[in-house]
Amino acid sequence: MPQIDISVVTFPLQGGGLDRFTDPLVQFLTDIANLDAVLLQLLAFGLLLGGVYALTALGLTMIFGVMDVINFAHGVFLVVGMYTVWLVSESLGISPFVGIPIAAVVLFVLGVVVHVLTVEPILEAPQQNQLIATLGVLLIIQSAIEIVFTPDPQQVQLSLGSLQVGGVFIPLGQLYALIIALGTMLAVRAFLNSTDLGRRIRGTADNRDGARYVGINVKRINYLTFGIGAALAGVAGASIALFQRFDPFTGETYLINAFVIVILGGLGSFPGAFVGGLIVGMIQVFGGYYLPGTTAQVLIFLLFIGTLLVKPEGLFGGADA
Amino acid sequence: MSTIESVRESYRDFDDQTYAPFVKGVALFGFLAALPYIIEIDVAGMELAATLSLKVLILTVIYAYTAQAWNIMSGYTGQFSFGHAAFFGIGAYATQKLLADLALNPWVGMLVAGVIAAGYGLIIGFLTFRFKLKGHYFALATLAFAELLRFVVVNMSELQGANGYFKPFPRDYGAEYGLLAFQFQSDLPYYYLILGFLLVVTLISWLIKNSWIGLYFFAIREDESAAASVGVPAFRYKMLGVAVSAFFTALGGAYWSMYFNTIRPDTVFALFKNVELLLPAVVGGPGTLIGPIVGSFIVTPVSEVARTTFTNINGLDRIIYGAFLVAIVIYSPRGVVSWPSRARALWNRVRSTDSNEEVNN
Amino acid sequence: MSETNQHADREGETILSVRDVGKRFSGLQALDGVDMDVKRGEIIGLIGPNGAGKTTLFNCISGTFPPTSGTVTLEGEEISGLPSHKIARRGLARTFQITRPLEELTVVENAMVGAHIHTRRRSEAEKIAMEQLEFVGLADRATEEAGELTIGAQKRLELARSIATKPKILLLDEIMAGLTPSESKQMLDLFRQLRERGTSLLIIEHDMKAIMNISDYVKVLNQGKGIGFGRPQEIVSNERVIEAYIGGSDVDA
Repeated sequence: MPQIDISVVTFPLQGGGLDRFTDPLVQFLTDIANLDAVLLQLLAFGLLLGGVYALTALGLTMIFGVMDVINFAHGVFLVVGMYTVWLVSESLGISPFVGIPIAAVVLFVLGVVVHVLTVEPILEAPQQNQLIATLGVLLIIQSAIEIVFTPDPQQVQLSLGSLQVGGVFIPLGQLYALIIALGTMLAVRAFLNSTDLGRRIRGTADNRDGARYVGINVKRINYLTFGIGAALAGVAGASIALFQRFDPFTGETYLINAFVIVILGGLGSFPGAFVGGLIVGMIQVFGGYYLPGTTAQVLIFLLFIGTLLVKPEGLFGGADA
Repeated sequence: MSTIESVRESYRDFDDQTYAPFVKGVALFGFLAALPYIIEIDVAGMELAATLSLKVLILTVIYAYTAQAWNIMSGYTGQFSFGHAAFFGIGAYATQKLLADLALNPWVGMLVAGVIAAGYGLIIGFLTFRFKLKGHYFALATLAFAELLRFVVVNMSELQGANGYFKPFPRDYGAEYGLLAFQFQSDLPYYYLILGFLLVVTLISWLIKNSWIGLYFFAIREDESAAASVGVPAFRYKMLGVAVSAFFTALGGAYWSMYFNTIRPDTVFALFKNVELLLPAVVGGPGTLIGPIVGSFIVTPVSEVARTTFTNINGLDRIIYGAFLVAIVIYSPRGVVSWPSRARALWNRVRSTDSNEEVNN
Repeated sequence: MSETNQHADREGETILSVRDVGKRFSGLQALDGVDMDVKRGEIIGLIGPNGAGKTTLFNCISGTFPPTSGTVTLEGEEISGLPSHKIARRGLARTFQITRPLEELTVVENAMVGAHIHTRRRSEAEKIAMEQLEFVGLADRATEEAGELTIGAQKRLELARSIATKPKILLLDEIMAGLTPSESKQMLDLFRQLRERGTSLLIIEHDMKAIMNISDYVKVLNQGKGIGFGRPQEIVSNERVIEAYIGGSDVDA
């Protein structure tokens, strides 16, 4: 059974030469030819991981889509969500599942504060300034967590076990995370599509200036968007904490892949984020199993670059936040 | 005429002279050359060197150098690169790889590295410019090209994977400590070497700015299609900007690999390296000649001094650094070098309201 | 009456020749079979109701985008499909409907960008640039930032920048819009002086009085098609033209 660890670890290096690419390919094709049971298992893992990845990208794609801001602090927002769940269950003895909504609230508040202090003053400034400002926020929060909770990895004490379905092994923690991801996505979509406020946010995403003309308070929409985006990161981080160890620096890998997913899926698109998440998840799971080391991540970046160049609007067309 | 005005008047006269840039350059680099001695001056029982060590000075000049190189592409032509760690890492890795495998002298290796980096830059430029990536998309694409290299290197046993390279001794490549070996047994020569690098890249930047190339670069930055309508071949000049910028950034990486003992993918290709390489230019004033140097003397010591001061609380230095980043882009979006002219504009406004009041009264 | 043939025998060397040019944007035929010649030293007015395709024609000629059909030749050599910087180097310059100053560059640097087409020497480019600024009356503002200029001055700067390339033909897109009456009058004077230098002008302008006054010939576009070409007095009495204007939404004609 392949050991799937989402965080990027470095495996011992394989030998050089072209066989590092041909051997895995031959292995992969052999497994397909034999209808090897491992394929089904990998598919299951890819699906689970993809769902979690999609969840990590939802908040990012929302902020990017509505405000045209690249939020580098998003990765550390995830981490805050992880620590919130951990803190709630460790110190208060409450179930980690209760910690998830708490994380959403905490992150909403944190998101609004970050927005007011750092993003709002420079919304009209050159885009690189937003990028640097949010990176500054990343450093501040990350280091604050490091000081308070030490850089050591933490883990939520929760043994959820696993399911065996027709020979396929499904860790329950990841399954719950996938369900939460789907539920969150549907809830936010319902909010955006059927409430007046949600429609205003979507209108702002389509056309900021236009939104201003029709009397939408774009300033307030920005607060909300950043807050909701951060809250989504909180839910994502909290869900990941259900099944994975984490430290103050865990966010970085998720952040980069979240960017990939946002671009693959199309700016501001939630269903797109799911498709993008699945693609990245599958590549990581299959690549992690067949390819040496973290070569899968190389494939992900190549796909990312290709999409940026050829279809920056996302693999499946327009945005519909 | 007040004294301030007469001083300003005579400065303006000086500024109009053709020798003015030369005098300014000599003054600036003379000061930088004297810095290692200045920090050791004992002022009222306190040495600046206690907090601002020669190591910090070296780092400061390294980042001034790389920011100056970044500026050529991003400050001048306006193509904001968020992936210069790619070129920096190539510089470090190519130099060390050639040194380890072929015992190639680092000076030669450095130039080879520069050419490879320029080639990679041209590939990035060709793709991103041809496909017309703009704004966030351009920044993300350049970042992706840098991150791509990080993972490629991590996964290549031919490049020592995640372990990286350990700098060999000069005798391993048939040399002795000294300029030719690119290795010294004390920090002072390293300082003057990187200062020389900075002088070269600043000189080249000055030459670019004062030629048609610089004007074309700026025209492209301001409005590419307007520039094209009066004959500026924008694509070609953007490619030139990337190549030159990548080449010099790689030399910075080569220096880095010869100054520090080890290089690893997660140091020279680190995600945050992309930021460190461009930050002094943004802080100082992108597109200006002095901005990257001034910016580095603000940014780098802050982070280094914070690191050495707060050793007992691991991470506090990064909080200070992060807060500093946020503050600087909020309060000075056009860089520190815009402060004098902003102050002058403010002063003029104050004065003109004063005189208006006088008239009204 | 065929609008193309009527004055085809007019004298002079043909500088710009537009033949059967069409441009299609996803489903919309913005230009459809447009023909036109510009001779050396001529001023041709290009008129038509809003949305007639005037600026699109400029963009096709100057290389902002290639036409989907037809050809454009400059002094007998085909330029359609070339990028705009190459077309500029062949001797065709243009200005933009909404001015596009290089904002953070000074006025003289703006003009120098155009002048560098002829020389790589900065001092020479500066000399050429100053001459053009002198010509348009901006020499005393040479060291100001272009972004600080008023609209009227920006329009003159844009003219200076484009003529610094010493073009054989100059395409001016509503360069008089937004100018005060006295500024417009100065601009018309500049047009005449440019013509005397042998520069051909193709101008889009909404001010009918000005365009009828300055143009040697007028070309009328409507819905992407050429519907008339002739002397100004012929055009004002052309029924199809009148109909196009009255039938169209644009009544300031």
